[in-house]
Amino acid sequence: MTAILQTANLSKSFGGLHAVEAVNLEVERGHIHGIIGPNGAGKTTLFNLLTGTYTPSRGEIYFNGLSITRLSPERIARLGIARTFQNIKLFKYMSVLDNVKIGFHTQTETSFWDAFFHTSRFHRDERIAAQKGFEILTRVGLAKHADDLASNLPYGTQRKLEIARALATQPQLLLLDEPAAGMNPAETAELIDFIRKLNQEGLTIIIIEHDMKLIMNLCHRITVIHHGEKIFEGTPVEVQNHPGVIEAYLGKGRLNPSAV
Amino acid sequence: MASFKQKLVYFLSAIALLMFPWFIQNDYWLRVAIMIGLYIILASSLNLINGYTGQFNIGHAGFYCIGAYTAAILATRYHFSFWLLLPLSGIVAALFSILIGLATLRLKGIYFSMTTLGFSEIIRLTVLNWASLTRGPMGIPGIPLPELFGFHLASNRHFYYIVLALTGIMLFLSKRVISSRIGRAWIAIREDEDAARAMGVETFRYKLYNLIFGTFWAGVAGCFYAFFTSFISADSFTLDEGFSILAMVLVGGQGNLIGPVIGAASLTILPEIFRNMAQLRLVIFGAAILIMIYLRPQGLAGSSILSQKYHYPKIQRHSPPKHQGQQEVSP
Repeated sequence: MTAILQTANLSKSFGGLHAVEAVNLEVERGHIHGIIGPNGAGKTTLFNLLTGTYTPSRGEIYFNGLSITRLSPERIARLGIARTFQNIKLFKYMSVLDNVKIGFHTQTETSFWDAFFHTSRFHRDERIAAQKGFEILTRVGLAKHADDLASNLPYGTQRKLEIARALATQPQLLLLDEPAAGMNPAETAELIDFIRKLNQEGLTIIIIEHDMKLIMNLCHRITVIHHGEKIFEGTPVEVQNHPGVIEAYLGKGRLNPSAV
Repeated sequence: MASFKQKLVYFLSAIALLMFPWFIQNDYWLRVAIMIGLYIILASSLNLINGYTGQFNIGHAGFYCIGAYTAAILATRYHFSFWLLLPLSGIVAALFSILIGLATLRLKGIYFSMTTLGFSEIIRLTVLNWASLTRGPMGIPGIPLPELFGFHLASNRHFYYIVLALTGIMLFLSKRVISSRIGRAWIAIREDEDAARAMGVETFRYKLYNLIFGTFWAGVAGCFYAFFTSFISADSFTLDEGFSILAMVLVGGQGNLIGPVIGAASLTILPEIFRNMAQLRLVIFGAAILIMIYLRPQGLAGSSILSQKYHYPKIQRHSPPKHQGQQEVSP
């Protein structure tokens, strides 16, 4: 079994609304897995279930073969799943570097004692957070913004910072919720290259995205969700040629061959 | 790292503070200075909770009260030493905060605030009515003077140095915690709790640590107050007292270490200047809060960070977020 993430019958209802209904998802290690579907299909709810923000109504989630179904978000983050948020959730009034430093929370262990007396462990932790944090910022091209407030960054750049912050937790699985939203075409192209590079370095990635160019370019497999249910799964080519998917979920204009 | 200029400023202020009692011969102003120190500890510890993790604690006076009564009871009945009681009162106050925290910190919104508000009143009423332990409305008189190497520390000058040392230690340790992994976790919780959890921050545990650390210092302040005045009663720990401390934090500025210091100093001096209107003390505080909210919502010493929160368009350094898809390379 090479699946890094599996869900069995995963369901979440809010009152009478079945936001996610009996979804069986299997994400292969090393893959980029796309999740698409119309607005309100339950994609973000699915992410919230996978990361522990919501507790499933029914069903199970397995990460590396272990059940993480009822674990808290912080436990799941510690196990190696990181995420970005659709509605950007940066620490707005912290510097860009400090945002990334939070990502090293799980890899450092400074206690009150260490902080009071600046023990060697404190210095080591601060060095890890500052150095590695700066490395990650350099990778995503934000090093020159390190001391700026996160809220002062342009929208597309804030998305990059969200990815940087998620990478700082050293995840095995990265969940990206509409990473290209608010980016211009040049930035999106850059993002595609960056995501591919991360994947080549061994990171498994799940992407929710409406930008079909990005999805079709990057993903090894795509799951299509509608009304909370999985209606199709396959390779990008299969998804593009599946008449039901094209008609109902991508709309006619979006999957115009010249646009893809 | 502090620059040379900053170090010089710290050094000169330290000298000035140490020399202060030798310039001020007037006992009255020395007592005011001691009260300022006491309120700096109280306001700064409240600011750690309200300003750094964003948990809105209204009942700080309750923890202050617990510290004062712990010290007074143990000192008068069991002759505990002042130096032992300083940390001990802090620990007892912190233990109560754990009870409050375990019950309410998992909830979001105003539940925590409401609980601390109620807690503060419950503590005051308990103190007022549990006469066998606290002598009820009669208060506890005759708290002995602290001793140091056989000396009785009796003069205001001695108390001035004690409170100066306590304030210094409190601010120093707070600064160190704030600029460590723990402080970053606290601020992250204030900024966005969901995101903090997604980064692996155990938010519940860190909110509890924060509450323990903050209320510990309220307990220490209570112990100091008990020994300083040598008489305490429930009247000193009303909700009004809690609101006064809160007013100092709000006027001085939340979310940075210097704000509550300035708030505590100005709101302790202000009523002294308008001594003939003593009964208007809380009215003055209320007016001060309103004026601050209107003119300078980030507080007197509001950090540039918070000033941007409220005056975003004026100070921003980059172009505002563009509309989606607009052709604009990021600056």
